[in-house]
Amino acid sequence: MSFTSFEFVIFFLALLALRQVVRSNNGEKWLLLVASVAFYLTWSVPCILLILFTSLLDFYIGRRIGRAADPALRRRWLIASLAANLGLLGFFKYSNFFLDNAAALINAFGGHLGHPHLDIILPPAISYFTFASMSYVIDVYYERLPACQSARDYTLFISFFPKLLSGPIVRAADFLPQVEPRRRASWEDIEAGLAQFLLGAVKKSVLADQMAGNVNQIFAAPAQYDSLTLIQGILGFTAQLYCDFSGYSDMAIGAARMLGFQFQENFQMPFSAVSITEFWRRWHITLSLWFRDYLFLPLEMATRRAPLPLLRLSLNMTVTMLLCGLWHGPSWNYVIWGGIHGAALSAHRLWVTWKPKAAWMAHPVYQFFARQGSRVLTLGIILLANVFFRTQSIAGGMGYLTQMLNVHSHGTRLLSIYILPGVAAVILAHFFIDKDRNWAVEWPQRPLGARITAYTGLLTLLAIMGSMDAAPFIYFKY
Amino acid sequence: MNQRLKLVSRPRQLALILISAVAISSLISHAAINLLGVATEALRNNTYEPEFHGAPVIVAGSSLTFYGLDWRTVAKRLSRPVRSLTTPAASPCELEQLLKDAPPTDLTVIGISLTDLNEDYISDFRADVVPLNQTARDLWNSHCDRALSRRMLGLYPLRFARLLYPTAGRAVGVLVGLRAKLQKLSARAKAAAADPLPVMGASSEFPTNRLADWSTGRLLRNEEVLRAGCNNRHTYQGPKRLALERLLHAAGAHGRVLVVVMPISPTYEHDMLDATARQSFEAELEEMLRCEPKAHCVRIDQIPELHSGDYFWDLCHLNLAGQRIATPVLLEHLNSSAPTQ
Repeated sequence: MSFTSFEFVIFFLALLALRQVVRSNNGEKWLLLVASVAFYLTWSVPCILLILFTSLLDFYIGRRIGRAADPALRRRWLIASLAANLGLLGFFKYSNFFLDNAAALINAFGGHLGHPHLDIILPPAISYFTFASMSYVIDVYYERLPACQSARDYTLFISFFPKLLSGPIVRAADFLPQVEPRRRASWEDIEAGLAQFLLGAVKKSVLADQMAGNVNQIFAAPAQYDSLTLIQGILGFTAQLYCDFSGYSDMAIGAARMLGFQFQENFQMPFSAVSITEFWRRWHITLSLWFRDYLFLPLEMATRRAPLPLLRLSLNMTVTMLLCGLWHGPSWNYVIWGGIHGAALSAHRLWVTWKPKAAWMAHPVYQFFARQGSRVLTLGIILLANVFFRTQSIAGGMGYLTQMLNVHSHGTRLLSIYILPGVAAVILAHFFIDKDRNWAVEWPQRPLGARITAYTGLLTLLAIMGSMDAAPFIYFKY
Repeated sequence: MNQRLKLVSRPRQLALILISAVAISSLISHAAINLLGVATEALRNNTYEPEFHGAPVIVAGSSLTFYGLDWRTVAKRLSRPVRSLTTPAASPCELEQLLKDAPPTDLTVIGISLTDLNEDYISDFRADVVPLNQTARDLWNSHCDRALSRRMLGLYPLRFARLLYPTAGRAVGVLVGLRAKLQKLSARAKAAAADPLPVMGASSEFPTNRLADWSTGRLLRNEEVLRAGCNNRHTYQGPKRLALERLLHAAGAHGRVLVVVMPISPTYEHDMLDATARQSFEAELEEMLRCEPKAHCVRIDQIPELHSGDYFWDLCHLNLAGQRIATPVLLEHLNSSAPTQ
């Protein structure tokens, strides 16, 4: 059941109606849990057992850590939880990747391992609920959060349907306090949530899904297109990825808000960033914060005594981004994608620390050109990395880039009536909308006429240009 | 105003906003349909040469059947009216329902093709023509996969949504209509008038332009639209097969049945089909003809001359030159096998 389907609309309206009937807080929590399980069952029936297993295991371990006074014992429970979570993630997501690479290595050294392959189903949302659950246990271990005392509440935290499939990756510290008192969305919340949901639906159905066809077409056979078409292809994919994923996040956050839950924003006008560091503060915010808090900072702590602090920082950033790339999928192209971002983040850090032209930097002319140059450079890095993100193989990415840079190629020129307006819409939105404001939240405070106009605009766009055969959300496969 | 607004409670404000927004956007959607001339009529039935007397020949098929064969000539040659039953992207599922309301006849012609029988290519008007319980039964009996079932069943709520928003799910139609409007308004009006989008069965002026003249870019764009329409899959042996079986039985109960297999362009076959899809189609066809002994098959798709982009005006439809080759083959078959009045 996708957020953009009729089934979801009916499901959600039924849930809102049922919530009005349920009188107690306990009843409401059970209702949300049952709804979340039902939602997941529409994606996969057997894999629900995995969510329940992860939830109950980490709930139990969290309680044991909470009760234990002995640091060694607490540490053992933490290691058990991390091993279980990473083991499950590794088995379901990375088994074949490791087998393939091990076999290739052994074959390269004269061994004969063939091509071993395991038929493993990738459970939907495994990367998200595993990360959410791990963050809880780590937070309990470091005493940033008390252990949850209710298995039902914890399972609801892991399986809560708006954020289950593709995030945002909500932390237990943000979610669990919200289930304790009885949640009732105010009318402002409902209006803001509905606005954000509709905005997300427009991003997904009107922009991402309409661009998808031509983007897929270009990436399916890049060799037959000319340079301009390939530039259009990568611009289109970047806009599609943004609209698809931020659209999903908007719908998830909007749906949660209508149920009375407030989640952190996951995207905040990322293409208006003037540096790659700022980009990562605006793109997939909850994931980048997760990697910062649970991987990068612990790495920094662990290596704090190492010499050459700048080099150490760069290495830690690169390792973090390489693993962030691998998180997206068991394939080397994602590692390359992470590597490009890691290298760019390190380079930016070095540049900021180095300040080679400190005297010039205060000059307004320099500032203006540096700002615009940084913007273009940042976008260039994102586009370059996205070639590898989309082509699914290193050779494919290199082939795409070679063909794109070959300005004398005689390939076909395809001017897409879907990609060009889609890219233009994304650029204009980033150009005109304040990059730090969340207008969906401000929406209910606007005058009535403006609100009617805005809702009418969104509904009209959906009704006229919305795609009905919705493509699956891109980030569902991660 | 703001003071007065503050007196209106939040729920009432939200209700007012939603009602106004739905009403205005619905009006815009209706206006867009009318202004851009987007087709919303499910039925495109027509009678060729109605001045002839006697029971009409019933022809049921998709646009491929009506562009690819000159039914006016057929009617004249048989000295009988020809009644067409069709809906855009019609498949046996829709044709079966349309045939229920057809006048009695002793000769039914059913046009099919590789694309018409492709289970993944669903008519946008399916929900307007095929009852929900029939769809559900066929999906159940054919053990259809979940994605296809979802797509098919999703058309039924869409049908109701279209009462409010007739443009819903018709973005391509809106864009085509918009392009036609803009072309009319622009300096390219002359060029557009010289190469108009043909109107199925509406006139004797059949398209003469050739697929062979298309640029690679145009070809790729159109292939992508077709791929998106069928999720890049060509599968057979699903609900359409069950419907075709029933359709042949129903038509066979009244008289002769002629199954005309229409061709698709060699470009389509080469770029979008594989050997498995073709084999499945042939197996389905053979099975069907075995089920209904009264049915005879005319393989227009096996006329060797038609295997060229010169005889198609797009990836699926024959142009006038193709029609001039295909129609005599059908007539020859009709003269040799079917009684005329």
